[in-house]
Amino acid sequence: MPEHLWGMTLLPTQVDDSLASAVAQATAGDEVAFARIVRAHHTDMTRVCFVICGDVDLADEAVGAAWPIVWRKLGSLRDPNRLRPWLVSVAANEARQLLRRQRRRSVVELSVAESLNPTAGDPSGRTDDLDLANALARLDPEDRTLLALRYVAGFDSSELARATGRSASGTRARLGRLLARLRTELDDD
Amino acid sequence: MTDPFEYEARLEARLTAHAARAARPFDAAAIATTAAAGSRPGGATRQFGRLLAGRDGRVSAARVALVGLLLVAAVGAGTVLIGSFLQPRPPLPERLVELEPSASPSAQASIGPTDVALRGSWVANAQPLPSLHNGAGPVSLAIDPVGDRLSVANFAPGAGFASTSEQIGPDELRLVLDLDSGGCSQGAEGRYHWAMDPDGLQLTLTPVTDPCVSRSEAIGRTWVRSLAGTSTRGAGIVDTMVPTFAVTLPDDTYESRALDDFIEIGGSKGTTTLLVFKNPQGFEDPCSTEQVRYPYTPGAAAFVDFYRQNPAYRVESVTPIQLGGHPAIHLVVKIKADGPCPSSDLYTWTPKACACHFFGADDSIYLIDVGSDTFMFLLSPSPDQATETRVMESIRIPYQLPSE
Repeated sequence: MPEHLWGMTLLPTQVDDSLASAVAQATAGDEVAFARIVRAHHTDMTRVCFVICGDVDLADEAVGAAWPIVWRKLGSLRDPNRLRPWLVSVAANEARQLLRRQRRRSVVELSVAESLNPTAGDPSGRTDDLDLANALARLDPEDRTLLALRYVAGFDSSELARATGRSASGTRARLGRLLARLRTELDDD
Repeated sequence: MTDPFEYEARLEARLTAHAARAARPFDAAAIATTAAAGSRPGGATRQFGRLLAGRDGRVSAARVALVGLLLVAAVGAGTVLIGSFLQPRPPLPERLVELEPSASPSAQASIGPTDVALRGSWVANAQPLPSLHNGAGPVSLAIDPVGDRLSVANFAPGAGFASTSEQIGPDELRLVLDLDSGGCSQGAEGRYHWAMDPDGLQLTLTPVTDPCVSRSEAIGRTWVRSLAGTSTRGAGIVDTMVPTFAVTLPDDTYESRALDDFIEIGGSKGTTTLLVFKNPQGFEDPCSTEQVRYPYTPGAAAFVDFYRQNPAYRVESVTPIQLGGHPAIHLVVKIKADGPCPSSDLYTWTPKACACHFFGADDSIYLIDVGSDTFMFLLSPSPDQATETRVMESIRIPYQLPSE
């Protein structure tokens, strides 16, 4: 059962022993172990960055910029169980920095439509995705980050608060407003 | 109305499906190696030291063996590369002439992939060609980033002449047709002499010998480098906007992104990015994500007026100039420290024809009036003034493509 916004609770975190040892080995300079971490988390990070950037290439660029930071700062991660939220947060931060630095945040209805995979799904599904992409494009990057971390990365309220530097209650309130706005814009009832 | 929890679950499913579109295959080992290398201070010169010692400072036999192998490979590759780059090149002729065909072109030693300077996209205007029965119009030539594939487009259906390309001399290419194309048979081997002007804007390919006449007619011409794609030099044209224009950026490898009436050309060194907007239109409220547009009035002066009334910016200077033979304005703006917006993301402008939005910043903007259109050029981040001036003064708009 999915968590819900107004009832966010901490789910027990699954401990992945092999990844925990990979963190220790990578921290000691083992690039093969680091590659295991990349393999396990790269796609998740890309998905989150895509929602923030609205562009596949930018998302790739953001995740590409995140990995050297991860390599450099892996030693600062005290709890290997927090690896995934930490990685996703680093990538999300790079995505926001990239947008700010390069000012390339722009989503065009036409380009979104063109970028949809023509073989994927039925026409109504494509229209839905286009509507969603356009609604996301109208949001502030900070709001897209919040949505991506919550619904794509599955962050709980405390992880969201840690990642965004806000209080858990402030985060919940902001998400509530965002949901209401999207519900209106997507005419989704 | 749907239950809020149910709505949230539905939105989550939609967002997850949307995000899944970004998933692509990736090479984890390559990413890990690049990340580790990119994090090392001192760059490549320190990589072997790090490979030997690791982060814990320990040296292992496996690491020593790996470094040894890498050194052998690097020396081998370096010999080939240095050999190809140090080849003396003859001066470029004023007008290229057809060379005498060699008796046995295939017997020549192969040097390797096509010269880096040639890789990328090239465009031209083609006149009707007897062999292809085509009409006149824009055509393009593409040489892939690795330098071993060449093809053309828009000459005629089935006449892409996709060929394996290879550098067989300092300024000579061998092309081998991959499949039957344009009336020629797979395997047709042609040799072409190439010459490039000093800034790398124009490339002239001249057939030395090619049994595939239609390919020689299509490829053998003067091409102009397109910056709308991947480019290995800074001089090129942008033909995704009307009119086509030419600009010379500092030499680098560039990638571009185009939207309606917009192009962004970014260098791989991350030094600067050229942003070009046609008919920029402002947003009424820089703080608002609603993107309500400020009424559009044509002309550079009107765009300056938009900035003057914008509460988030301070207009530092407005200098009338001439660029590319057109009246222009150099506008310098800064974000007000005590501006009205809580966020640093200021919704500032978009091309009039584009449903997109861009954030403003402290900008040095060049507005050029070309007929009834206004083009906005800016470099982000701003380089030194001399570089910025050099780039802006290199703009030629419109740019006429060579037509043969």
